[in-house]
Amino acid sequence: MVIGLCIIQILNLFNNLIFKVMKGFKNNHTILFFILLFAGCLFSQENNEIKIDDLKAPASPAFTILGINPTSIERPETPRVLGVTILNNFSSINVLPKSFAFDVAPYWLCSHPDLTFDMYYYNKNSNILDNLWRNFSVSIATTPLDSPKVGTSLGFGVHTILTTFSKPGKNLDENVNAYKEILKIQVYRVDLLNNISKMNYSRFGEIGDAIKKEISSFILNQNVLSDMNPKKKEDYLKLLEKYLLQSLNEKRDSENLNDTSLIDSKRANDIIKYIKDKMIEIADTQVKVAREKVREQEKKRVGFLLEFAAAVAGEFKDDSIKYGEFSKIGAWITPMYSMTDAIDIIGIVRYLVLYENKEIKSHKVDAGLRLLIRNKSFGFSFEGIARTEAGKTTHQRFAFNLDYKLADDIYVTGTFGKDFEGKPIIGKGDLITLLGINFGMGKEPLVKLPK
Amino acid sequence: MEKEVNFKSEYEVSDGDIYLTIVIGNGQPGSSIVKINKIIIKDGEIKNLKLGNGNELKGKTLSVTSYVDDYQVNTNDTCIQYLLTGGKEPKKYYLDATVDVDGDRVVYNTDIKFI
Repeated sequence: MVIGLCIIQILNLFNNLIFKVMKGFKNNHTILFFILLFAGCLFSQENNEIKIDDLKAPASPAFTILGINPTSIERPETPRVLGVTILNNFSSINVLPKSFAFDVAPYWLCSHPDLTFDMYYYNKNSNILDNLWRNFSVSIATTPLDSPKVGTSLGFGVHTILTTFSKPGKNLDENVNAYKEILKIQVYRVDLLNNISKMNYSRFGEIGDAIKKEISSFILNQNVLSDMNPKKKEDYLKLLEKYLLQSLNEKRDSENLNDTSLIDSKRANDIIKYIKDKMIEIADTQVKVAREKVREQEKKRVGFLLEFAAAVAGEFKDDSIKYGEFSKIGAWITPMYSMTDAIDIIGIVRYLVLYENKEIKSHKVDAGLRLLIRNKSFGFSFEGIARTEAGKTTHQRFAFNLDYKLADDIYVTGTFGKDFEGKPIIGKGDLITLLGINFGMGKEPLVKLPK
Repeated sequence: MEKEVNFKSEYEVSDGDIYLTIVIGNGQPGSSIVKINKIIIKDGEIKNLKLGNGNELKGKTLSVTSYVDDYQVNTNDTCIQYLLTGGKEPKKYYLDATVDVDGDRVVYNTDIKFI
């Protein structure tokens, strides 16, 4: 939360600066949009590894209940430990963004000593309550009251994933096994370097001999990498030996040493430390590559997922606690079918109770569908929702939404369409024109789903 | 990068067989090497591993090196538990460490002397 508030402060300063620069321009919101778009194009050319889905905070029920989400049917997501969403729209871009949402997944705020990787990844020994709790998130959001009212709306929501019948990429098991093998080799690299650092050396060449001797003893020991076939085991260990000797030789060449050069214990320690550091650099790459391959398979998940969310909203007129009152309570389920890793069909059934002057004003039921197409840099969607109320006319909402990645931690979202009659997002009509700027907290927000 | 955690302790044996289980928590993946008096007896995931009879193990040292990767995007915390049973009483040793940067690793070096 503290981190989130700091970011908000920085963003406020940034926004103030832009506002001052643009002061005097009549159509300043358009200029700001193009500045952001231009900056985004520049930044996004630097690094395209992060997909727009990685940046997006999972749908915040607190934002949804306030009715200020760019889309009314949000893509179900597993939570991240902390998410921040900041939204603004064209009509008010000349002031600071005033709509904020914070999401927290409480499960991940404390340690789970008994949760192993396999329990987490393959859902071993986990019951339904474990999964509900792991995917549970709490959100709080605020936005100014619609004009002419003065004050603040506050939303509080919860969400979790009820169930999933989806499959990750077909190479997941293979990649998980490869990842585990890499970690197994790394522990032998650590062990080997620990062993040779405890030995005494008088000549440089003895360090290389010690490395070869350790590798040979690993190859001959049947308890080492016993679940690998012998050929694979030897290949892995020979590769480890190659990297170790390469690092050793680098040190030899850089210091003009040869195998017969005399070294004392301090010099030997320095050389072994150099090898350790070099091997850690190599491990950084090897482990990262193996880890990312697992995550890539996870992102290729296709199939069915069902999310549940509930939220309440209150209005605080004149920003005063004593004038605070409930305005909405709602609960909704969001089924999603991912046809491929780029196309989702998302539905929603939502029940809303609206309050006015502390009395129930109406009960409404929303039902809708959204088609979402996404790739690395953008997401495009179209949604349609019907809202019914007992004894009254059914109203519809239609909206096009485009998300575009500006930079590694920022994307813009724009929505255009027609809102429910009598419930505009902005202004007095039913036109939807919303520009949102979303600042992601971390590059890999998604918790994986049970297999 | 890699963070190192070193730990030493003792475990009181009795006449029975001693078993070791290692649990790497917080949903993080990892691997371990188990040694008795510097001789490797098992690697990988360790569950109810029979180390030997208490009388034979007395005076020897159990060494475990574990390598844990920070896979989880929602936490940088890693932790490990060593559960020893079959001695005078079961004992659980708990260690934890937080990586400074997403995707870093932690090396746990543990020596437990059987007494």
